[in-house]
Amino acid sequence: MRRALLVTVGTVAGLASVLSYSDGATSMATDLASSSGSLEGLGAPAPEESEPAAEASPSASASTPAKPKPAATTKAKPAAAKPAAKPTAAAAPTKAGAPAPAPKPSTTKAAPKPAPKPTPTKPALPSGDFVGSSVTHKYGTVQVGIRVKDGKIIKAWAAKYPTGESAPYSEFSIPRLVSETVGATSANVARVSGATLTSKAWASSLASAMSKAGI
Amino acid sequence: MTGPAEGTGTGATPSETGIGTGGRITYAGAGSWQQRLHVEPVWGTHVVIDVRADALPDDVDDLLAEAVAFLHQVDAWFSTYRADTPITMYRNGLIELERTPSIVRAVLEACAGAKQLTDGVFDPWAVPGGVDPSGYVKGWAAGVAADMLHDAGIANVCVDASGDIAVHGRMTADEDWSVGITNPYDTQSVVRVVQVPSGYAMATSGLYERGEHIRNTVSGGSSVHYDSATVVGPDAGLADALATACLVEGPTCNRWFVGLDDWSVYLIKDGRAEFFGPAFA
Repeated sequence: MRRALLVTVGTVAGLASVLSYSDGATSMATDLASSSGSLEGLGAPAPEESEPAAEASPSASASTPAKPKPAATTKAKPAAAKPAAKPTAAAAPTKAGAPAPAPKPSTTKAAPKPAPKPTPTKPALPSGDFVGSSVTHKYGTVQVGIRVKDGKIIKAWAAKYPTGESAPYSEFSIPRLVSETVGATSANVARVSGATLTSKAWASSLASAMSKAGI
Repeated sequence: MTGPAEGTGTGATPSETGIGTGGRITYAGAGSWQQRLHVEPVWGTHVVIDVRADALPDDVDDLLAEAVAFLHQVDAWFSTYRADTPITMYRNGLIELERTPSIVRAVLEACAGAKQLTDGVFDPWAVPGGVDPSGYVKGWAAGVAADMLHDAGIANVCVDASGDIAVHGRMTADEDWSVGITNPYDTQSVVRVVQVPSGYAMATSGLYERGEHIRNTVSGGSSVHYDSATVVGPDAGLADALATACLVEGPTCNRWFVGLDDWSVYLIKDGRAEFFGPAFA
């Protein structure tokens, strides 16, 4: 699966904070903004004002919270309500192998700051694709592209990302959102996954169909 | 408890979901394999158990009955609608957490992990009336039931807890389990078919049919960003929790998946989808 270093965000400010989160390279965000003059037209705060979190650093591969297992799943009778064999204590997600936990910077939580409203005297907000300069950091070389529409970043991607010996580190990047139009499609499926009532209707309908079929 | 009784269920007609009427969704059978289907009313909804194999074990009925018993046991542990469950008694201050069954504590621990992973967006503690792990339990229980049946020797299993789906093995000799993502704008159709790998789970959250669903499991009221959020990953309970959290969070939910390479997400808003992960590659 291809991964990139960026997330689709609304403003350069949001982009800067995400960049600094995913790589711990504050200079990268700065380079991106300063290397492309067109971006200044976005009217977003300078990256320095967007509190890039230099302390954030990628860590080793993440793991998910532990799954609780019932004690006697094969004999799940009321008696099984007795204490389970192994209530797992390590439910909190940890970054396995990391020397120290790397708490997520709070800056990534902040909603992207809204860009100032354009004044009538300003030219039209920029649209188009922009590629930042290549930036080398400790894990390799990264080059970022963004697609801008009316001054807002609607898509971001890594035009170049760490490869070779540093390749494993690229796995710590934030998954990139890809966009597509939704359309109803014909499908031959065993199940459907939807909000509760849809699935309930599916199950009921399935039961009905099963009944009709004499299964 | 209702015993195994294939072919039962409430009386929706096939036309309601397009099944069996030449509609857009068709049901994928087991091909040359043997198959057993069981629909169990439980938790105020239905759970469908679909087991398939070249040759199902002779005791398949017993195994299904055990899985069904587990589903009802989950209700006895975790229902917030019953006064006599450990979770309700804990919510009402009638027992200390330490006196609840350890499985209840383990699930709450897992909820705490999901809360931490989602920066507090999934928060079973931030609801009126005390902690409510429902947003995790349905998916988790589907996963455990699927594991039980698989561990007991049934090679191919799909448990569908009303949209929270957990699978083992494959759908037919040639195909992985195919699961459709419901079209939130026309619930009789699907927008995408996912091949769910063995050992994986899939959960979808949306407000398009049950508005209270999200309010109960997420802090900050019922404001949501997406029309539908689907998560595919190797942990059914966490998939359930993450689907809800992503629905609420918006595009920045992808930051939770750093390093979780096995996980995939499909998000729908205003007729467009945003997605990532191996299931949608």
